[in-house]
Amino acid sequence: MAPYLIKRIAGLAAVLLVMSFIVFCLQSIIPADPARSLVGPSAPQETVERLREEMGLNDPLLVQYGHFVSRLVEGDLGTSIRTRQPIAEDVLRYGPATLELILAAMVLGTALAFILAFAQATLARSGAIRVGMLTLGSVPIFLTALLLAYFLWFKLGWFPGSGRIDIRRFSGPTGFFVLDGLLLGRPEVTLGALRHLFLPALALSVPIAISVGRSLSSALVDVMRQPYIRTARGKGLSAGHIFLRHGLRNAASAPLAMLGLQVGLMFGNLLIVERVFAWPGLGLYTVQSFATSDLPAILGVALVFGAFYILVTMLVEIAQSLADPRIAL
Amino acid sequence: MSVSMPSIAAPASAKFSWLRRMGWLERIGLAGVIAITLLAIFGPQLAPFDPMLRVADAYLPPGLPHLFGTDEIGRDLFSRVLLGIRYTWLPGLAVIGIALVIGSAVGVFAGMMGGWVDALFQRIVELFLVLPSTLIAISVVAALGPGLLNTMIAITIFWWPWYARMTRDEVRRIRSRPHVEAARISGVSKTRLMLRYLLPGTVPALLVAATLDVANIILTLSLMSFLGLGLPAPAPELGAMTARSIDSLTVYWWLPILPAVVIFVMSVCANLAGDGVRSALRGA
Repeated sequence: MAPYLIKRIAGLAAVLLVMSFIVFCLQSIIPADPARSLVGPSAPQETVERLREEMGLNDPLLVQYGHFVSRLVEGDLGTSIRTRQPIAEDVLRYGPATLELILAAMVLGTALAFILAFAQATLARSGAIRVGMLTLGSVPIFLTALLLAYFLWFKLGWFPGSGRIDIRRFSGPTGFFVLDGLLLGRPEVTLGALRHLFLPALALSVPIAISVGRSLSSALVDVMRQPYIRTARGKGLSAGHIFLRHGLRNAASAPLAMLGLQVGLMFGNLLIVERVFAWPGLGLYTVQSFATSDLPAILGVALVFGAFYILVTMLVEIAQSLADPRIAL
Repeated sequence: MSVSMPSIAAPASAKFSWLRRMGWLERIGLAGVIAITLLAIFGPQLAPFDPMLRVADAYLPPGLPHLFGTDEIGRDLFSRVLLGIRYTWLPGLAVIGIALVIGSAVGVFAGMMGGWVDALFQRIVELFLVLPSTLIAISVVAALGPGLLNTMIAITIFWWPWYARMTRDEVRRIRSRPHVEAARISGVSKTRLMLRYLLPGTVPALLVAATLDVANIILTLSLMSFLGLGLPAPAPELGAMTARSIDSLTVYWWLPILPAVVIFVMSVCANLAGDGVRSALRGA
């Protein structure tokens, strides 16, 4: 397994390098001169020239890219125009909220995917479920979010519709409020955080549930037809044991890959859901950066998301090879 | 009389046999797609009011004569949505078309050449497929500056590799068929081999993929529009209309909800029609 992992990690590092190169190229096509914008329009030309030299803006593009990568490795993502803070600090401040939301959406999405797959496998009218999934998959994410907010928050008042928590100026040791409540021994914090998480996580989980559910149900149908399932039944193993050890484990690979892919597709949805529910995470931060054309911040966050996606892809591959040792070959 | 009946009926049923393979929901989807395309082309002429001008009081709820109500400065929402269909549907079709042309050209070329050309091509496509595409498309548009054209370019860049890979795989499959082999041995030129023998064989698979993708493109375009990366403010893009009125959800629900519902209807029709095309071609 080790050489396989090393090979995969090298491949993913290459992808990350490509991403950083794309971001670097995007940054250098902005017409504005960073040195000029730093010293202001009234500064003399010599000052700008000296600063350009100091900032390395006169170096060849490839050298500049080298500097850019070495700064990235040190964790320097540049400075935001809007917040005037290092982008890395902003990411650390808003990141936990987004990570909490992503994890909640993945858990909820996987649970819903199981329900959908079971419904399709056991109910007689699976055609109706197929059309239902097609319809649900056609809803633009902002419509899902708006309808959830309108009915479950505004009309019925079952769940809060904006923010992360009702307690003002709350801050915990980890930044993950669900976890903070447990660590501080304040169950009301955890409960409040979970209630706030529900609507945005549900909106985000719908696309995940549908694509993972589709893939899970077709994989399960395939696996449960296999001869070894019949053998297991013949041996008199319990239905639960057959399903978990023989069925699900063999069917897990494709849905797992789909789950990883969905995390990659989630970022666009994340921006929208955080905007609709005023969730103070990286998505909302990025949307606000769009409004002020804060390109360094947008690209910095994009790079962080990209790295996160690659990490998820790697975890998915490890999970796949745990479920099916043949994959590691 | 009874003898001549089957001979009249038979050609007609053969002509529309593809339609028979579709379910009724899929037929409705196909009809919806045709209707949406007509609305996208002629919608502005059919609009009951001028979509850009104040025609009534602000914030009228849906009713008559303003079917979808009016917006914050008294423009007719229904007329604006009709125009908005054009700004979402036609760019969506254009992106699919361009991606198909680029993808099939690259795919046929790589599939026919084989060897290192094919290997290089495979690596490039794989790279595109592992990159988080929406994320980079958003970054590209943010860097190039918002606008419908930039959005379309950014989405196309990440869409063609899928078609290229599909075409390439199909070509590799068809290449070893007897009729292609016979053509190659009899000295047909490479261009002719590509255009007349390999490309036609890829059409069914590409057609199914492309029709199923229309809904995805519509949703991606409206997502970008929602984020303010599409046309600038006065233009009635559906996603942007929802985004601009999102804070009035609890007071004037029709302003953000109805444009989004129209996007949903477009995307359902496209998905159903895509399923229909798939089942129609399965029997052919």
